[in-house]
Amino acid sequence: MPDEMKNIYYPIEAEVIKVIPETPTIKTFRFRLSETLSFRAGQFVQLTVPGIGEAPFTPSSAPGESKELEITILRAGRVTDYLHDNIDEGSRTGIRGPFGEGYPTDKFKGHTVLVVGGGVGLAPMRAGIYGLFQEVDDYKRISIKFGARTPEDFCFAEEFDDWAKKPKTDLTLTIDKPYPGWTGRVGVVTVLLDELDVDIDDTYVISCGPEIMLKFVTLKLMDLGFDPYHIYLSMNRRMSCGLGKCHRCNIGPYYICKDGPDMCYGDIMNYPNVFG
Amino acid sequence: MSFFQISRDSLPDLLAALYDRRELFWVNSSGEGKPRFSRAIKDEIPDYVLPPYRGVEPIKGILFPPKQEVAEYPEPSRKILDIEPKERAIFGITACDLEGIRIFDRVFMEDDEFIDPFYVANRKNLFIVTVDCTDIYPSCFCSLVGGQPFPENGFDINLTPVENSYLVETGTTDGEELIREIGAHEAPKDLITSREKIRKAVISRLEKQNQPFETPKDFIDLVTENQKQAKSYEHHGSTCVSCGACTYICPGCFCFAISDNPLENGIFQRSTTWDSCQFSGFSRMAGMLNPRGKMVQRFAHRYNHKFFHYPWRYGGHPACVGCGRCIDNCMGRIDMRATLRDLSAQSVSAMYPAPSPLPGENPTGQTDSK
Ligand SMILES: Cc1cc2nc3c(=O)[nH]c(=O)nc-3n(C[C@H](O)[C@H](O)[C@H](O)COP(=O)(O)OP(=O)(O)OC[C@H]3O[C@@H](n4cnc5c(N)ncnc54)[C@H](O)[C@@H]3O)c2cc1C
Ligand code: SF4
Ligand code: SF4
Ligand code: FES
Repeated sequence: MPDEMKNIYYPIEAEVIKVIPETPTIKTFRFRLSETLSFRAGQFVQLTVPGIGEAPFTPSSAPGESKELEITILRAGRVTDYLHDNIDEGSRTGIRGPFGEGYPTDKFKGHTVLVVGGGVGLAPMRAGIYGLFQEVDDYKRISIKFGARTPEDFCFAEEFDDWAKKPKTDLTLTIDKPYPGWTGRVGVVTVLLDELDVDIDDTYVISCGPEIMLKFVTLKLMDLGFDPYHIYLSMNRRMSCGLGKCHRCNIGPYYICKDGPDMCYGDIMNYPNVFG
Repeated sequence: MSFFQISRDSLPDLLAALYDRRELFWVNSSGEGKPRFSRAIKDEIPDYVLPPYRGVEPIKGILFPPKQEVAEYPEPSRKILDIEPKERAIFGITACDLEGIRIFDRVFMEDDEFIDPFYVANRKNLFIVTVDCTDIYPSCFCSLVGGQPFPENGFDINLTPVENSYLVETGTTDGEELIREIGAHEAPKDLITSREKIRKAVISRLEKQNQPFETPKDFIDLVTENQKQAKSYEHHGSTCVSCGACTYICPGCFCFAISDNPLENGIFQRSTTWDSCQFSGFSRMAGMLNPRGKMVQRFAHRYNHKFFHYPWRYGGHPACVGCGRCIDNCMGRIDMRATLRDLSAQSVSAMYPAPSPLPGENPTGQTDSK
């Protein structure tokens, strides 16, 4: 039974202890929490900027139990602009959560996991990737495909070499348009799916990025013959409560805040407006 | 549980007994016009009249107020709350409004993961006195959504006007104690038989009134099966102006938003406020992305929530009790029953005419509500 006395609306204190600029429009904020918080890969939190508002973010730091947490944030509107412009070391914010189911990693075990990310979507994926690395022995293979607009728009680029060296792991990058000095792949992230060398029937996909990217990645995967029940998409919906109550974030009968945010495409594909 | 009989004159005694020990709210039919929901006033107890049908307003506000302060932060003492349950009573609600309370209970009090402590404090000790409907509005349709015009459980006391007295059914020991206290005696068998007759008569009036809206499948199946086919929503929603009246007045609507206000000394106050899925900003995201940016998407969403999403999650119960308030209060003169019924129509020509916003031309042939 859930606790009748616990105030589900109360944010615990989160003091900003470090701000790391990642790209011209993305910053990572590290928070020290007033109490320990434990989250699974894929779960998210509601970040309160006092007096400005709450917005949902998936931590980009490793899942597990900790008094510190990192969130990587793209400038996108009222709350996120305020975070970029006014929140610095020493600022006090609040956090509620964690919310959502997170990735069903038990299902993925024994199989290959294909990670497809784009833009700021790489940030939430980092927690997922750290989670996979923590249990790398349980997976057949981890194949990571990332896309960004320009080389400057990859967050955590300094970690990519390390990731590629992990056992059973490969990492491929692409940028949208040719760029001075870039010798890698060019084209949107779906070009990396044209040359997939994974066993499609034995692979689960997790994907996070802008809605338009999710849409084309999904169409491509379906074309390639993926089972829609093997595709997990990080769905973006307006949220407020995070508790499955305010009824803002649904796709069909699912609440993205409670049943997601990573939704099995097979479960949602027949409902209206999956991709806006 | 048990049956009692009280005289018509003893209604004020019952009200006074409740007034003395609880914060009392009522749906009151005294005075002109329709029954109204309000806080009980001591001096008006002698003039109280039991309503023949539901009140104008839903009573959800006493359980889930339009604005509820839920936290002050940073203020760690507000994290674990020890709120005393409120000792309140509601008097004179009908079966549909009782079912409305159950819709809220499942979300805020019976969830497997998150319980709203403010709702629990308002709800836990709520003493409920219900009443059988002895008359109906043209917009009433509880019989189409699995309900009936009298409550069967979930009340402390239920009252049925029978002949020149009230037949009292008690649902809890608290109810029974109170009713004995005001000098009730056990009900004779024939009074219970009379109640059955009264109930049957009201049911048959309801069924006759709603016969034009009957469909071969129930509304839950109809809405669930018509996820992407939205002709009826376009047709009947054409006069919707996204005002949200249908959701604020609805005993089964519970959408809300969370907002913060600065107090003094760096403390912020957080509140929940009623919101409506009929507003275009409700689901708007950064970058102006909006999965329900079009009016017809929001219009259809309301039906989907009530007859698909909610029952899917909460044991097959719809989030509509058929009270008809949304019909009476829609400035687009949209009749929910017609929209639902026409989900099964093969073409627009087989549908009821689209609503007209002009007064006096109610397309479904129903007269305006009393
Ligand atoms: C589960 C989840 C995880 C997310 N993780 C990240 C992340 O790791 N990094 C990141 O940069 N962004 C993430 N987002 C998107 C981020 O929440 C939005 O960019 C942010 O809410 C925009 O708020 P704003 O006030 O700046 O924008 P405005 O457009 O000014 O929005 C005003 C309010 O609307 C709500 N809102 C607006 N857009 C969204 C949205 N897309 N989703 C939910 N609520 C919204 C917020 O409550 C916000 O306060 C995530 C979204 C979800 C749903
Ligand atoms: S009351 Fe009528 S006009 Fe207003 S939002 Fe509801 S359906 Fe639309
Ligand atoms: S949708 Fe309309 S009829 Fe149904 S419970 Fe709400 S107000 Fe009453
Ligand atoms: S954010 Fe409130 S129901 Fe999902």
